[in-house]
Amino acid sequence: MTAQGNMAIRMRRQPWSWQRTTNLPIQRIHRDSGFSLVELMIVAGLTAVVLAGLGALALVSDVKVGRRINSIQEAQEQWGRSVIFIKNEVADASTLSSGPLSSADYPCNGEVPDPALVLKGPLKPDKTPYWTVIYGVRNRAVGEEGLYRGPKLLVRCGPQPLASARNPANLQLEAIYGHLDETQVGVVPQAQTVLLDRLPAGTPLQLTLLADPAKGPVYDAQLSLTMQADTDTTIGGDQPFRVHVQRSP
Amino acid sequence: MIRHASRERYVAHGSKNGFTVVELLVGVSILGLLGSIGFQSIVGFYEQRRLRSAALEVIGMIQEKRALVMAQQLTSSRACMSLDPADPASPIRPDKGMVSGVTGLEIQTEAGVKPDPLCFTPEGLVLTPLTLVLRSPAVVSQGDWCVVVTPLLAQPHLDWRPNGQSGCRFGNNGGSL
Repeated sequence: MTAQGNMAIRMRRQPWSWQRTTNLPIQRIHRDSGFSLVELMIVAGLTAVVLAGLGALALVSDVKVGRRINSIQEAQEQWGRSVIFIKNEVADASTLSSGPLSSADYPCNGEVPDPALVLKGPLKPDKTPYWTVIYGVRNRAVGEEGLYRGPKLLVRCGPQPLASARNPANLQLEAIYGHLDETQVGVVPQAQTVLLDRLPAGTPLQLTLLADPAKGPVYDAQLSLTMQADTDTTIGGDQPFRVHVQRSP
Repeated sequence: MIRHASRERYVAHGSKNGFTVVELLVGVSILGLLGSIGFQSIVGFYEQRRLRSAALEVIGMIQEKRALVMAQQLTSSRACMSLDPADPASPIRPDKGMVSGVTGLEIQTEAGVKPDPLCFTPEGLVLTPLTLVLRSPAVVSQGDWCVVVTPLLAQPHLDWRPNGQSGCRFGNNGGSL
């Protein structure tokens, strides 16, 4: 074959310029050897680092999401439990009233809650109640930040419930005190218990008596209790609930 | 002449791109060191998660007992539950019924002693606060999990207590499951 023929074949084997991915001559693209071991190891190492980083991010994200879900679930459960407890205790009361209270009216230690729902038990012959229980919202005190969360707390002030059932059963005490421990009534200061934490700032408890107290005893009220379940999740505020005195006046 | 040039190329190529035994040993040692540190961290992390699962199981058992007491109006010792994993009467048995699989689970109070049984009123209330510290001495961990049950409603709080911190105090964020 002539030299011109060889040249023609070589030119024909080369792709056209618009078919090439680079403008470099073909001879410089093709290398005799592939990647060296060091290059491969560097690439493998970088890939491993990137994958490990992505895996760590996914794991951290998963843990955070799980923690947040648990936190919200816990808040929902606590909110429901508190609501049921308040409803049951209101059912045992005779009348309802609301605050604001003065410190003289508040038989427990610490800040007077505001707003406050006051439950009064059956009346004695002298027209004073056998027992009084107060629910309300107060600020979280110094020293409580280790256990309770949120700026405000829902507290209950009043005699403690019975540690166990009355033995023998006493229907008269049962009728007056219900589940309350009669030996704890009148003890000063009364026990104060934090029922619910994680209440947000502002007005987490909204309280409306469903009758005019100036016209007679009040037996019904509507409450709205907001709880901060997470940094940007609140529960309960849009679900007002009614409490009702079931004891016959 | 040709043979000599190719031999030179071979020798030069080998000496530039190969690794000596010392280099390999150093590299493998560094990798082994990093791997062992990472492995320890991963084992510690998973042990912490296991302990957390055990704490959640304990909380579930407390809530189950509370529901049972309320439903059946149980009184006296029948309204109490033992919190000692070594007690055969306790529902908290890592070898039976618990799925978290913690090795050698220990439950103590903040003071480091065995907790008293947890007793409920017939209405399912708890009159005194209770703090439990869950730990596993079988594996070196970076801390313990605390379960705090607050009165009256037996509301459980759970949070991580790092080593060196004396009490179960949860900081500004408070406890969270």
